Amino acid sequence: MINQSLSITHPADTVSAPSGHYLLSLGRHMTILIEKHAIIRNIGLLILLSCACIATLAIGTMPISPKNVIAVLLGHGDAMSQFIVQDLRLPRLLAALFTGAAFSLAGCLMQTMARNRLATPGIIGIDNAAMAFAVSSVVGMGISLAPSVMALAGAATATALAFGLAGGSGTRGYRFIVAGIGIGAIAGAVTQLLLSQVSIDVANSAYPWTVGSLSARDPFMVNLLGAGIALCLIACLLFSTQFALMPFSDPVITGLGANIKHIRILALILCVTLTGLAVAVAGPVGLVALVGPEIARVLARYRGIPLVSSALTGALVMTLADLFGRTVLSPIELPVGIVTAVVGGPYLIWILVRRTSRTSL
Amino acid sequence: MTATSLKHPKHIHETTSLTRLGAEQLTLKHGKTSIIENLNVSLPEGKVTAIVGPNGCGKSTLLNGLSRVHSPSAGVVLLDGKDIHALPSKEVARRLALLPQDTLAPDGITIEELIRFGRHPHQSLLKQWAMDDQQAINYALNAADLEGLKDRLLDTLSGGQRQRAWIAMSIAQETPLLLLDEPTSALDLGHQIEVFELIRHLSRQGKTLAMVVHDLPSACRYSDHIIAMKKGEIITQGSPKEVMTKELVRELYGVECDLIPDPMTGSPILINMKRVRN
Repeated sequence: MINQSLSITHPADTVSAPSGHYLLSLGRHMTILIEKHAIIRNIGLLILLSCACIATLAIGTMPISPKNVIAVLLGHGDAMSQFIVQDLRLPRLLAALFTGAAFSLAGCLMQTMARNRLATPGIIGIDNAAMAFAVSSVVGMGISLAPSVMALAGAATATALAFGLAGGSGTRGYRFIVAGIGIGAIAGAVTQLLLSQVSIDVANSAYPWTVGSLSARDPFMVNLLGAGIALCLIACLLFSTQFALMPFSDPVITGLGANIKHIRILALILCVTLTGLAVAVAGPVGLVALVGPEIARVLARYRGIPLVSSALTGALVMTLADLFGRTVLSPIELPVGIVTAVVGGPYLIWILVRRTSRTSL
Repeated sequence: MTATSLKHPKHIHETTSLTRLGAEQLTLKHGKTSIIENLNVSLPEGKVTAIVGPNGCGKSTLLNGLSRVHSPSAGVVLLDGKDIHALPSKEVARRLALLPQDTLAPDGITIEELIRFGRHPHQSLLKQWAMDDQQAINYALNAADLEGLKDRLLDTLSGGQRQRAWIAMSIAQETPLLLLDEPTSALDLGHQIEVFELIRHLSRQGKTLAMVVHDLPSACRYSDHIIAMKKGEIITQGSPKEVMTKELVRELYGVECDLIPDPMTGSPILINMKRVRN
């Protein structure tokens, strides 16, 4: 956001921003470049997202007019609307926004780091491992807080395994992805095995973890995820100039004076944190990580690494998918994971089939 | 920054005592295989050094070692007298630029954007754009003759233009040292000469350059100093006229030939080449 106190400089014979950028001078020696296109893109996405949010809060078995929704959000409105919007629909909306943003941001980071559009946390097996750990704790202990912690532990374990099995090639190339797919398959099988060994009641309580659902999520975990996303976004902005180097080949990155290992470890930590927290809230809805960044890249015209836009598109996709799942077969509710899979599956096939000169797999 | 002179091993006759970049007792390995062992080398300052030798002789490995892309198993690479791996990477990047063989760039990047990345070592989070960045980029665009192409996408350029864009990126880095790994290997004759002339131009501006080159006549013509390598060792080095002999060509490549001076430039030309077994 451009604050009033920051001046935008354009004088002819002094420093002028490179084409397509705003130059913000903060004092004498501090300068920040901001891409014009990113500002327009992200403001547009924010507007769309706001509309989707109001629609989500308004639509349901008990419809509330958008005007009333806004009134409630501003602290007015009647008691009934307040209860429905604030206590019933808002927590679920926040869960959708946060998990969508987290999955999509993690997806964009990992795709960029691996230089491969297939390399999302879901495909690398992070989702499945987080799920397997969470389910094992539900099955083993039957309490609600432990699964969240277990999901994070599972995410970290899967990443470490994929990274270790990829050996010297690091996160680049197919070894990392193939290792991750294997880990994901094993984790999926473990989940199924666990569910098949317990009573139907326990299996039922673990079921939401396996499909991805936003209903009745733990508010503490939702808040934790919100804080996690805020921190990860700040980290992304702080390290944006280094993350921007990731698409270059390793010797070029070294030649430009950046430490590839540090950049990659940081990106992996962000991916694990975001994915682990998001799975802890909503279960594996990993296809958002594939769809969100792709929309962001199309909007960014395949230039740069649209991290912020990915978070916004992910939140938008998740919100719309949940709204769709809630309303289309009402009163039956489709879990959001199933909606994103129905939309994301064909999409995955489409990006595999479509190969243009600009987008290399 | 003052240039520091290194101790040179006696068997190497030097053209200059000044050097900013060199290695002592350098051992470089790929996995467990030693490519280079106990090598001493230094780049003469302000000159163009060509590293030549047959495939697999370790010349690219040496260049990667000198540019800290490949970490040594033993020995040390010295930049201005200090261990290059002990210096902050960004500081090294302000003194030493590298054009590797494996140049992979982000999708949809324009020439100007690519060249802007050359400013990375001079920038920080709160100093993303200053007068010197702008001047360096304009200078690089001009030096590499890319002003008219600056808004074109990198993927849409010819091989020669693309290579010039990468060199322009390292020019924008404003380093006194520039290392190039086979800068002309994928280029046709016209584009090769274009790149070599740009390298000569940079040398006249006072830069110290080193390049790995396959083509011997070009190495002779466009360099001041030749380092000839075989099986990870430097077998001889010196000015092209001193070093380039029939015997050397035979030893390096197993090729019998005659050498005649180029009637225009005097640099050696290889004629009458025949493959022989060593």
